[in-house]
Amino acid sequence: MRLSPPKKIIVERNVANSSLLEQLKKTLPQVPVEVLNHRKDFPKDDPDVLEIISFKGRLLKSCPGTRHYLCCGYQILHFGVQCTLNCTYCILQAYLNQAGLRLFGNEEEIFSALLEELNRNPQTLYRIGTGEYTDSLLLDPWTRFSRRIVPLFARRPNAVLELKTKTNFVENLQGLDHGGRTLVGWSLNTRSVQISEEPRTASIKQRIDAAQRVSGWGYFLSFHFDPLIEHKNWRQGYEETLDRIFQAVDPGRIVWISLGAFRFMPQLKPIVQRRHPRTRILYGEFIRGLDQKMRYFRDIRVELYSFMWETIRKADPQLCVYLCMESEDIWREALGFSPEQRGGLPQMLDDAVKTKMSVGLQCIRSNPCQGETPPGDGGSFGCV
Amino acid sequence: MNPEVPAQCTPLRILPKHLDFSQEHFRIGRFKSREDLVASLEAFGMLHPPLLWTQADGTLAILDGFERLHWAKNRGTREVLSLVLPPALSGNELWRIRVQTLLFGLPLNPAQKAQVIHRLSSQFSFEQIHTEFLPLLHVPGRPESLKSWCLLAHQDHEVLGAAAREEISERVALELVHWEPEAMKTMVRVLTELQCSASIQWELVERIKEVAIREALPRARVLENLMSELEVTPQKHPRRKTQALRDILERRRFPRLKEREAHFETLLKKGALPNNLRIYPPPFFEGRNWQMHITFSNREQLVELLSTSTRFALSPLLEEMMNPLASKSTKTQGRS
Ligand code: SF4
Repeated sequence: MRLSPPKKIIVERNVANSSLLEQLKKTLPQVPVEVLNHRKDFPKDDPDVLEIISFKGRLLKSCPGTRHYLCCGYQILHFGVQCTLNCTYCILQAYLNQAGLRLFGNEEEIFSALLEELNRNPQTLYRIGTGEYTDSLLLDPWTRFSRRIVPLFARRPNAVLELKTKTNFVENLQGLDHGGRTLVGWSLNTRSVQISEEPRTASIKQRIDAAQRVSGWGYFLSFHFDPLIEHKNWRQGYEETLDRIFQAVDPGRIVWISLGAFRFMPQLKPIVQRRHPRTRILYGEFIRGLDQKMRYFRDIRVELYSFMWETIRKADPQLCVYLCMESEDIWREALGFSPEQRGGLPQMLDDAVKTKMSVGLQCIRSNPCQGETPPGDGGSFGCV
Repeated sequence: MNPEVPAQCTPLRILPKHLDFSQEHFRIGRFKSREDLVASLEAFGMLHPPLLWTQADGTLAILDGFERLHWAKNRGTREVLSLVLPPALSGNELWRIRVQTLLFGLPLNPAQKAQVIHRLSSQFSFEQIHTEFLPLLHVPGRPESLKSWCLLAHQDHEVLGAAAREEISERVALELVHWEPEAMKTMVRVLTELQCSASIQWELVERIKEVAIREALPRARVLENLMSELEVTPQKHPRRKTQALRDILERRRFPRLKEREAHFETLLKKGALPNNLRIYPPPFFEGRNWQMHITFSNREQLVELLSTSTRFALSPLLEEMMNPLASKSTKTQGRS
């Protein structure tokens, strides 16, 4: 997978001395840098510009749960926004007021606030990810962000970091002191969906090869089949991808696999139709869900999930599989149990962290869902 | 625009036979009959003078008033009082004046808007059309809509006529211009026959488009299938026929949902519940909120209905209604 560098970097003056910018100047010496006083002076909607600003909002955001669809209690660490991979279904397209790539330059501030939060609640187990508003590793070859954040978690007794990506940009992870507290997660799909809906991302093979490499470096893994898309020969396609995973990596290194059938806000439909006129993904049997998002008619969701669940169980019956933002009745019908029977979904995932990664063994609390609404819907796309 | 332009007009008495009627550059056809205009002309004569423009060779081109002047010519009227613009005006100025003349008549129909936008597009930039003219024409200014309007302007009499007479809505007309010509024509005929509201027209058009994309078929093929299915229904009245077409399309667009609904109805029938006891699934079977409505008029009847409903609740029919997949499948249940 190849990525073209930005044509220009624009920096907000108060982060002009940041270590992030220093790093970018080293990895992208040919790219001109312009420093502007205020964010409002930045050019609008230029996809060739990489913006560095200082982030002022809430550092950790919760994955949203609703009364009807259960969430996983995941926390999102906001380190940047937007993505240039242009997947047809990506929710970030709806956020056109911020079309360009933007990173937060006040990393030190963000990191110290993060550590403060983790120290304040030593009995809470935090599952933290960075890939909700962008892809976790897309810009890593230039920013080397992973080299700064992964060691930060290496000794944390109550937190794990999940880096979710559709790239194979894992070089920087090699040789890091990760302390077994970082999972590298890939969003996966069938080969045909990757080709038609995610053409700029790494191929399925490249992603699984990358997973194999990082697993060899001691990292734990996660996989996200989100969005699951009903398409021609989907059973065969998903089975092939799952087979590839289990041939390439030891299921013992996989902490969880999430499943999420394609869903979208109704406002996204005209945007996708305009930006990706050839895609067919919008024309499945979608109904308006209880959260007002368009979802596949329930019987289709149940079929997708049951198939995936049964196929995964054949490879490893102990593997933690969860449904992303689904209702309890769908859990029961597709998987034969509800998270409530296992203490709730956050608890289920915490148990997977404790059992597989041996992290947070002393923690007695899971992160509660706080019902906010990031652009995807918690562990969903953009990015995964 | 130069506010002085109207002052440049000279009122002149013109012989219609001296006008160049073949010069139709500024003509914006209505694509529907103008009996009202003719009746007015017959009764009151020409109350508004036509607007002419002196071309470089001295001949007079018609800017506004084609139908009035045609009427005058056919009637053998000797002289018509007209306003004449001087030759020194540019194409852009003439079009600005022409658009102004259109604002004082009846509201423009979609066929007229399409012609105006198409002509403007060869004269002005998108930016100019967008900011200066589209608001005057009450047209929402999205970049892709300009293309649709221009495509509409290129359609034949049948399509433009249907749009002008509002047999097809403006939104539908702008969508159909992107269809294959054969499918567009068939759809225009179908909608003209069905005489349904703009919102139902849009629903039909959108459903057909989505079915075609979903099934990777040309729209013409989808329409052909639908028409042959529609033919076998006994419905002849436009409203009933419209409903029949909506139902056929709904089944085709949402086969799994419709299958489930049909299954639910079959089970309901099997349960032989009395009319005053009714079960409703949640919308689209999404979520757990099923409902039972009981209508009763006395205590005995309520007791009777409650015992019927209890019998039904304990029967396997309810389980199958609520979880048909689980009842059907022999799949392994999850660990718990
Ligand atoms: S889905 Fe993820 S990888 Fe694809 S464009 Fe969105 S953020 Fe990028």
